[in-house]
Amino acid sequence: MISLRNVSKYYPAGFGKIYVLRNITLDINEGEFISIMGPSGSGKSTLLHILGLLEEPSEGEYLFFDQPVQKLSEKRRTDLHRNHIGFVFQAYHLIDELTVYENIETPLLYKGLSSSERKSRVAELLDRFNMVAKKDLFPTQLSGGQQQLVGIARAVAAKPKVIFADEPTGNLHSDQSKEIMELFKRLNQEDGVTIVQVTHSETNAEYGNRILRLKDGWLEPSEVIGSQL
Amino acid sequence: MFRNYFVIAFRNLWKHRLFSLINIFGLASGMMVCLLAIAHIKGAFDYDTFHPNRDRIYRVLTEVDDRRYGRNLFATSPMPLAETLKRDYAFVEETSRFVRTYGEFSANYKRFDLLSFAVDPGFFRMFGFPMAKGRPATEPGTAVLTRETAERFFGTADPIGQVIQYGSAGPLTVTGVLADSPVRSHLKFDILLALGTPTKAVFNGVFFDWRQYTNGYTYVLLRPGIPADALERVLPAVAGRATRGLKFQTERGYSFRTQALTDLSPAFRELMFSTYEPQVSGLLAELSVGLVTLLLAGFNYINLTLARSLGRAREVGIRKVAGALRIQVVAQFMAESTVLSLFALGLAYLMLELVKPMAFVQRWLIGGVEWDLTLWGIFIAFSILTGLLAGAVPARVLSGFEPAQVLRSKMGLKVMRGISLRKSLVVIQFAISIVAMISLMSMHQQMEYMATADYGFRREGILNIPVGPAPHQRLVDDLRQVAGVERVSAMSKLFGHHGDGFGAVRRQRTGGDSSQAFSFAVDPEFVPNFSLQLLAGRNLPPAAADSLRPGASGRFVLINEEAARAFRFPDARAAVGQTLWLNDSTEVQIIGVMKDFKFTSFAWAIKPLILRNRPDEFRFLNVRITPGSEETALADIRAIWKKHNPYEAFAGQWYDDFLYDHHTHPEDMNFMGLLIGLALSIAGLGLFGMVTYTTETRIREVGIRKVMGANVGQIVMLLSKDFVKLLALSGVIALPLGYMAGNLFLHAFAYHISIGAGILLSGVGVLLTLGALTIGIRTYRAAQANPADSLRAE
Repeated sequence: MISLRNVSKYYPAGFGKIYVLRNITLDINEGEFISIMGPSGSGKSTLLHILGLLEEPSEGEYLFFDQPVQKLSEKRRTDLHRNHIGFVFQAYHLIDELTVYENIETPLLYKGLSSSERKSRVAELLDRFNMVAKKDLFPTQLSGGQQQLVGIARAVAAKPKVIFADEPTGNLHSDQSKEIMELFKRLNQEDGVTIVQVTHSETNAEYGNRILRLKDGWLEPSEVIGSQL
Repeated sequence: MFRNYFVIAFRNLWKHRLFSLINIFGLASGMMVCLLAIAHIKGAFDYDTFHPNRDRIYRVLTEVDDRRYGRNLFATSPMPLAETLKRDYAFVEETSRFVRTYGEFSANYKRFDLLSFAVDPGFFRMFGFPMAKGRPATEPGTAVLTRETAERFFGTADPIGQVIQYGSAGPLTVTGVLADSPVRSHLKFDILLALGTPTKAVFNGVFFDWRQYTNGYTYVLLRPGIPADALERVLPAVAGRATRGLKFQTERGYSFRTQALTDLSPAFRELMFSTYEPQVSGLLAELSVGLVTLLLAGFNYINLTLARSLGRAREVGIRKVAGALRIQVVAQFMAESTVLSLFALGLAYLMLELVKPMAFVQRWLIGGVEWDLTLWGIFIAFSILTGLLAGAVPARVLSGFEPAQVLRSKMGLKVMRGISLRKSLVVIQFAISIVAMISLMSMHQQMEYMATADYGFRREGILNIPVGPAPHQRLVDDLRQVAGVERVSAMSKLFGHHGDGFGAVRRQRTGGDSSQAFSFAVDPEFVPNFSLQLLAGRNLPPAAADSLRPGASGRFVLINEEAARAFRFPDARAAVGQTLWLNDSTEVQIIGVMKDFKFTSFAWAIKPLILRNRPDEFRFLNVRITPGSEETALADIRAIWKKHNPYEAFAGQWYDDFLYDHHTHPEDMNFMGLLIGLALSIAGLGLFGMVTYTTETRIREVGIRKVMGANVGQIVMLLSKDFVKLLALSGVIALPLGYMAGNLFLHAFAYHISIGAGILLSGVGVLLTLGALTIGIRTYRAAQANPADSLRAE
């Protein structure tokens, strides 16, 4: 489903360049749950942004469902974001001026669903995430864990094929972390959503089926969790 | 989707109330001025819409080809044209000539200078001016009054059948009163006379003379169903026949054009001797004043929206990641600015209601404009357009945020955009405000100067009493008996006014040195009364000695130095005893030469002046009163006035007051002061908002610096330095521009103040004070904040 071929990312600095990612070659299959780990500054977030089509690689080739996507028009890229990709952020990034309900509804609006379709989809998600009572609250009225639940509900609202999560539990205490990770696992196993997360926590990484380790921009050989493969 | 845009727009405006208030107030101020201009423009298109036949009415214009002045289009036409058209062309249903005059009408013991149109009977069939009562003035010697004129003359009494005197035209019987027109007309008048009335003798010739095309207007009503160009097609032939064999002085000839009544207002082309249709240039100038004010407010919107970009950037990122196209994010911001702008329209309307009663607004802008649905439609469309335009720039900048940048980890990232754009906008705002302020102050000072300046004649302690044309010798004699009255003189028109009786004066009866000169009628007491200085010769002799023969009154004249120069007398002494021809039948002798003094508006340099003793032209008595006895003398003078003129109110006025009132225009100044007040508050509020938001983003830095030991003064300095620099820069830009703008205005006056450091510095001073207060208050508060609060976050 996702395959990177010799992807590098660098920024010009003075006369030379600073490499953030070097020569990454990587395949992710549909239904995988992948954790990207590495020390600060190792290029985890950049890799996630490239995978999520938020940044373009400087070199190399990126195939998303066998289509090269390293250079895409805004329209095509937006189209992928609407239908195939969901994001979850460490800082939740909910829109403060919108209620829980409206935050979850936002991607559906841009996807162009009719009002009744949106209503039923949001209701379904609220129900599933046990947030029906909170639908008219604003993000600032919620705890961090609840905000992240809304963030995930928003990410899956448009029924994406893959969710990219950037340290989704980085701001949460351990109980909440656990809850969120369980949720990801369910999404992965029950709904078949591919999940790629960046995390610092080995515990959280264990929820996935594969760990990618980055160091100074190099991808180290991946390790498979358990022995299914 | 749209609902979502508006919901978030409302919530955003509510959440950021300071931002919303600043912008709504600013946009409303700008819009208010624009609405005035739009209403005026709309009113201009509504001129004369109340005439039932307006689609069939045309005015004939004369295009004159002149050897001296080139080609010019005159709104007037030769007077015989109307009859020719009506007689020879069957498609002409009606014609009417108009002759415009301005002069003194008297009735019921009152005298007013009125604007009159002498019209043919056809006028009343052609135009739809509604009659309140009576019937049109169709026979010679009749007149119709406007409602206002009727009230001025006769109060609540019935004016019909009353007699009005008009100069040599003799008595006019009032046959009717017009009702107020529903909308304005390009024809403005106080009184309509029947054209058959034998008015001034000089006019008799012009009604048959094809050579004279500047005396009156010709209007034509075509029969129903006649195509509009029928008239236009026959006019070349008419002009050809009329001008064949005519001998002009300087013209090569002329041709005629038609102008439909419906196209008359607003006037896109300037016509010579035009009537009172609004000119497009003037309307556009008004609109541009409005647009500049609105632009200042628009700058605030752009500035403050960008200053808040930090908060909005994240939202943009989220929306894009959620699948929003850039255009959808742009639409979001545009929706916000449009909502804001519609709020501003509401406030603008309230402000408009407040300024509506101002005399300036009524007289010059929106008097007589109909506030109908069309106008409201235009207002709403205009405010939506304003919202879209104001929103466009920030929308462009903000929608450009890349999600990868703004969503990355924490909020440490600097996402300020358009900083240099914002700085330039602040500089422009303040520069425009200063330029406007300096210009206004120059105008104000010039008016004060004209109102209080030394004209070269005595203006203190002189009471002017307007009097009728009747002999006033007995009144003068009585006035002289009043204790405290030093002297009484008489004159035809007050000095310091626009001047009157401007005409050519020659050395010889035909040809010779000629010059334009003003002539005033005064009596011999006049010169000492006004402390005028004689350089040579004697004062005018008393009327008795001067008028041994009837008609010889005023055989002697006083001239000023300028006149002596204009007539090329070697010096003042040489002029005395020489003769001048006032026209080809009146010869006068120079009896004395006066030192130059200013007797007209300051717009002109001193012009040649001729003073003659002509008692029948006296309209003002000048009573000089000993300083200190003004109160008692005035009371006595009132009593004497009452005795002589029991029916007329006493209208005496101190010369000082006359000059002051005539040259200061408090209403106009109030309105312009209001404009500048608005501009300044827009700029001030904008600065306030910008300092607030910028300071907010540096609150952490302030905390860190305070922890490291910076004191409040140092922090205030740090935060305000950049803004003070901007203000100083706008001052530097605005000073020369303001100086130029002020001088451009002053240039119109031959005698004017010079723009000194006082005006310039006070202009900049007001700005700096305002700016410093704004910046100071905000930054001081930020510097006071407890660093523990700002550093605690996370």
